[in-house]
Amino acid sequence: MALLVRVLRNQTSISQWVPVCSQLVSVSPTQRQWSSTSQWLQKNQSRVCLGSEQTVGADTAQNRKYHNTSKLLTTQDFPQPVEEKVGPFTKIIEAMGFTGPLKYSKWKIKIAALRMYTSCVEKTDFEEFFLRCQMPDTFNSWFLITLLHVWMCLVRMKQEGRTGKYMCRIIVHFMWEDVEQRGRVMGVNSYILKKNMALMTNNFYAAILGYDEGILSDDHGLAAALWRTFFNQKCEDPRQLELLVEYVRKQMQYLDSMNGEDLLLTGEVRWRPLVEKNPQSILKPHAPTYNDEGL
Amino acid sequence: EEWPVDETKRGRDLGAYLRQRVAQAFREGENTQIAEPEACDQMYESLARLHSNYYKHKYPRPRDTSFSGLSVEEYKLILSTDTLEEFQEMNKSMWKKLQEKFAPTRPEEKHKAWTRVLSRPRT
Repeated sequence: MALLVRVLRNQTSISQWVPVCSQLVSVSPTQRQWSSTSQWLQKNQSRVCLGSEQTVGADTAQNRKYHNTSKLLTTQDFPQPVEEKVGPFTKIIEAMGFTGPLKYSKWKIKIAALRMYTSCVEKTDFEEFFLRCQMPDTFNSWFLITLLHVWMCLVRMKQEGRTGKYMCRIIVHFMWEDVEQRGRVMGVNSYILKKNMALMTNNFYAAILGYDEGILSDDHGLAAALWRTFFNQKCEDPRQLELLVEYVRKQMQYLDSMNGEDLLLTGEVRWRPLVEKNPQSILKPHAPTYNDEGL
Repeated sequence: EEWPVDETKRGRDLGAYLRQRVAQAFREGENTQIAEPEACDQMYESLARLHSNYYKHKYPRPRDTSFSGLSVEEYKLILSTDTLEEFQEMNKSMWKKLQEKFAPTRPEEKHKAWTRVLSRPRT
């Protein structure tokens, strides 16, 4: 399987990882991003959080950013994401199982979905996962890693309303097409492939539900979900489990920070590396209070 | 020892597994000779960080969202071992399937409706 991954990787160029600090600085503020930040601020005002370790440079950058955030919030009040109004005709269509008109062309959404799925299978360092998590180099391991990344994309796109839901469906469709094609390329007998596809489908549903419970739970829940599904209850080293929990937490936050409209139209997703020296959060856990009185 | 056990996932819970592993590794109690003390300390620190919710706090999310959109309590119900066993029983019996069609009052119906959305279209 690693050989197939290597062949695929050689055919396409891989964008290099951008350091967190420069990424933080270069991210241009957009309406949705500020809105998301303000939502988070409102949610966590009454919660006490642990401080995170930061380098001096990152600390300065983040302090500047949050000062700007406070300034923007005082001068302009960004509206919360408004639920899309749907007419009765569209409701009837969707109740029958079809997709009503969306704010973008369906073909644009399909192309973006294909590009997003491609990011899951081609911009992910599978060999790093095989090595760090001590996974055997098998088709099933490839499927588990791909599934984890597809799930993270689905969670993010679900935040984008009806258009995001449609995109989720297309991403899943492309995933199964790809799984079937890879099985054929490996020369698996079609009858056996069909049986295994049924098993993988059930694993897919169980994994989606398990990861959903994990991301909404504390680190206990996420660790347990990863241990059951990703490691198939065979992880004996808590350090590997910790590595995966941190990877999922930081990746989800990173995806949340990406602009929703850009994701809907381009599907371009970037992944932070699995092993990162001194990884930093791009959102400060507890917003500091700036005293502007007297200025 | 402080890691809670999830009763709903009997037979496949990480907490139960950890207890078993620790008991096995320290069979002689306080007098157990540790083969790799440094690795042991690292593992302990990993578990301690997970237990204290270190990473959830370090990487806060603007909105706590999931894909299927259910609540944590509903996940626990759907993913509990008892429910999964019921699903297996239902798959075996065609007669039960017919019964379910005429009396769809169980909360598992929510799960089925959700599954239908993601079902793979026929090629």
